[in-house]
Amino acid sequence: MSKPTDLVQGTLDLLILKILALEPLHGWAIGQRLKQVSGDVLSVSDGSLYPALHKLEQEGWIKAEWKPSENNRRAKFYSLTRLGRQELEKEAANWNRLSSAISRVVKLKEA
Amino acid sequence: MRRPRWIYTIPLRLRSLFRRAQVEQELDEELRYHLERQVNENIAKGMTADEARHAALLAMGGVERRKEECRDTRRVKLIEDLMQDLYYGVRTLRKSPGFTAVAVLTLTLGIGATTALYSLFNALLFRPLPFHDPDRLVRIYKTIPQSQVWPHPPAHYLDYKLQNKVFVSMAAFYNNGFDLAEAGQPPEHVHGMNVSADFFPILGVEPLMGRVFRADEDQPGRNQVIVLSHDLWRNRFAGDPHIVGRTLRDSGEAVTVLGVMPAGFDHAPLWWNKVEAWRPLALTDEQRRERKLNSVNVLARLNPGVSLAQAQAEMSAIAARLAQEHFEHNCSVRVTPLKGSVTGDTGQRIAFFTLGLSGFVLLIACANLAHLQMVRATGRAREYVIRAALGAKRSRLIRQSLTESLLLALIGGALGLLLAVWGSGYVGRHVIINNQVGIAIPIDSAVMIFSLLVTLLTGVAFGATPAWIGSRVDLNEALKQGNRGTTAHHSHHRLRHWLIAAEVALALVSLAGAGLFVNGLYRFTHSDPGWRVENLLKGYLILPDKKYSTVDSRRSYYQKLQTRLTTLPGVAHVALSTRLPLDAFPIKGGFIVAGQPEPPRGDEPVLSINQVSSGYFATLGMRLIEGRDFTTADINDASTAVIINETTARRFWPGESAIGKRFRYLDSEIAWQEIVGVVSDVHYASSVLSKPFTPYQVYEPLDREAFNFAAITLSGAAPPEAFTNSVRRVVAEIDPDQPVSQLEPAQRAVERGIASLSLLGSILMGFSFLGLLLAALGIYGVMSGFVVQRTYEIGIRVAMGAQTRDVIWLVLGKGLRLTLMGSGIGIIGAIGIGRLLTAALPRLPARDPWSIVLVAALLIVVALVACWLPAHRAAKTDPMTALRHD
Repeated sequence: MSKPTDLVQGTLDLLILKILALEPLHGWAIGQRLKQVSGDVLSVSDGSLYPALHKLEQEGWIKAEWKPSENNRRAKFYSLTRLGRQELEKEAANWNRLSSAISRVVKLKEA
Repeated sequence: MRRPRWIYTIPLRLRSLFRRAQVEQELDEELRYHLERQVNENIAKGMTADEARHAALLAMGGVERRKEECRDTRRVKLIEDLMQDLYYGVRTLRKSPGFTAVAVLTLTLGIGATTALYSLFNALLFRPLPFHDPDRLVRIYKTIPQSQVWPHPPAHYLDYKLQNKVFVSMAAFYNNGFDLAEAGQPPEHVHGMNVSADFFPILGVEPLMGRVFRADEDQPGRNQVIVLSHDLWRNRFAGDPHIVGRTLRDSGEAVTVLGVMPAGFDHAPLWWNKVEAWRPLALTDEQRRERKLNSVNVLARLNPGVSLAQAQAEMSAIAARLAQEHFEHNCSVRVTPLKGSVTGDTGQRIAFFTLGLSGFVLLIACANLAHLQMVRATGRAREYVIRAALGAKRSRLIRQSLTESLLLALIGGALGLLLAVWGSGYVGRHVIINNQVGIAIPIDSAVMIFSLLVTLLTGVAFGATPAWIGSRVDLNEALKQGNRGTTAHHSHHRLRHWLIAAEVALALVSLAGAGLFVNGLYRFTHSDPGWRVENLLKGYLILPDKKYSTVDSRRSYYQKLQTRLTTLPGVAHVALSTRLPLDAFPIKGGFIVAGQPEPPRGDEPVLSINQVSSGYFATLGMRLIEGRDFTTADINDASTAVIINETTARRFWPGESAIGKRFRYLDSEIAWQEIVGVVSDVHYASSVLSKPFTPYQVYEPLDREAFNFAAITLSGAAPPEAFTNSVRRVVAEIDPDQPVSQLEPAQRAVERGIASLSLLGSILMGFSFLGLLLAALGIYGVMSGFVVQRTYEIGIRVAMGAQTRDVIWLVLGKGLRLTLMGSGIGIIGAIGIGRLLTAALPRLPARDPWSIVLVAALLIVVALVACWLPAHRAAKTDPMTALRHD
């Protein structure tokens, strides 16, 4: 956790955690929600979504539960654990710090 | 509240491992659900069913790949791989039952024998003593120039006890025997100890039943109490649950049984002799003032925080003060941990020597198995190549191979442990420690850990090399060359040849070590001890003090006994004496020679004194070199006639006759002693383990003091056993209450003295021959492999006209070169082992170059036979078949 994660990977984790913080969702819905809220800017391939979900689950940040979905089929719903909430806060703070630092750098004018 | 992470993760890991099928099924279902939704979505966007499905799969980017990525997140890969390797290992082992059987058998024998040996030494030497906090227990010895393990005069012990500040408490004891009887039954002699009241509390062991002595019972007149050992209670009193409070008779004195100690408390290796009962020390006032007679042994428990060195310093200071106060020369003391206070370094050295040799045999077994594994690895080279080509990592291949070896080792180790349980039980029943036949050899956690360690080391040792070689296969080369090329690595061959040399060397060292030990033991026991060991019956008597309180009563008893025994039919010689050459610890006394400069105080030479009846020298077959034997004229209180041994005569009166010369004992008011005879030396037969001592021996007439203990010796025309009953009858006729103990042929006692060493010798020989056999099998295996590999070459040679002799010589020469190389290394090792043995057991005649030469010759012959069989097979090679051989 303290070890620096790959930027894209880490970012994907943060996005998933944030989405799940709002409500429990299954994998397909998470993918849909990602596209929705980021206005298709951050399109995550369906393929890399599931390994990311499984990793978060193994870390103990999200937990899974089989429930009937909106089309009345059994689906695996993920929700945030207490540990995941803490992780989200930490990662969000990190992200804010990083992005503001980067945007400050980007805004520098050439002399 | 913050919950720790493992609360979430541990159940997940367990689930991944043990509910794998369910986890897999859920993964499958999850992805299928996703695809289904995506397909529906795509159809809703206007695609055909096929297009929608294709697009969904494309977006996923390979379902199986994603699944594998998900599996990778589970963090149980290491364990899963291990399970897979184990499964795979079991399968391969089952596929080659021949190899598995040979390997398991080799391992079982090797590990089992080594473990059994370790369990023996563990029971005797390594295990903590069966007392409370045993590391804080010490023995305190008096040291004199001739001995480092001398007892103390009682008054000194009392002073030490009172003046020291380093010990919690201190106890005194001496070994003794009790003639125990119950009403209406003949007495039986049991070994025991008289101990002060602190003895049991210091050791910190509670009795199994009843209680131990109170301080007030450790006084003369109030000491009619006895505590029994577990063995005595079980064997003699049939484990009577109401034994406490029963009254027994000890030499006619009524004593009450106070309690029974738990099993194992009478730890035989610790007390010189077996211990079956304890009675109070009960020092009399006179004894409490005694400062000359060294009679009590001392043990103590260190105060918390006091080191051995501090205790030694304080005790030395007190001893020096006492020496000054009482004008006594030489009063140095030695404080040593109780554990090992008796066996000392010798026992440890023997243990490590033997374990070391058994380790060599285990190494030979490893070498054999390594070779077998290598052969299999070459046979399986194709499998390795394919797996490597498919992307298996080298570390993964090594791990797979090691798992298989360890699996084999663990099977062998488990069976070996069973063998060890059986083996140590057998050894335990036959080993003799301090006159006690048989000891309990527990398979405790230390033994388990030892055998597990040996097992793992063995597995790694014979698995690592082939695994490394197998994994070093050059992929491109191997795939290009197909089957043939992969087997022909040069480094590979060199390693196998080194295996032969190593096996020969190891087998030679272990055989030579065992040979030197056994031959040394044989030569020691068959060297002329200077007395008649065969055809001699011996037994011991202890006259009760109460009944035979005067010197005269004892004199007349001994005279009557000797006369009666002499008249027995077939008896040629009868003698009584205070000591026999069997007794390892003769009485000693310092002395000064008349007319010669007095040595510095404390450095006086010491004599072993033996008081003997007339006929003693004839009975024991000793030669009178000069002067005369004792006569009846010597039996009076004024007589000062003594007889000395040859060594003493030669040392103190070199180049002249010792007859008529005089000497005086230290610490004694007795007059100057006059030497009237010189007899040949005798050697103490069973003291191969003890340090050599200066055998200055002096003989005095038995009747001079007529001590209350005596040894009977008797020889005649018939074998000694034949006289046993008549001797018992004669003793009973004179005094029906008087037992005679350990009545048996002297030969038997001598053999018992070295029985444990002989047993050890047999074990070692067994081990070494196992090693030899394994080495022979190993050499045969390697040379057979050599022949198989060279079949093509041999075929060409035969086709070109090579004769049978040439082919045999090609193989035999190779084997012989390697064997000679191994023998060279082995001989150097054997010489080293010999040195080690001499250092460990200085009395063992282990300098024995012929044994080493003999062993080397034996090994070379065995190796040649092992090489000849494959050579012979090679010679029969049919060139046509050989050249087609792929």
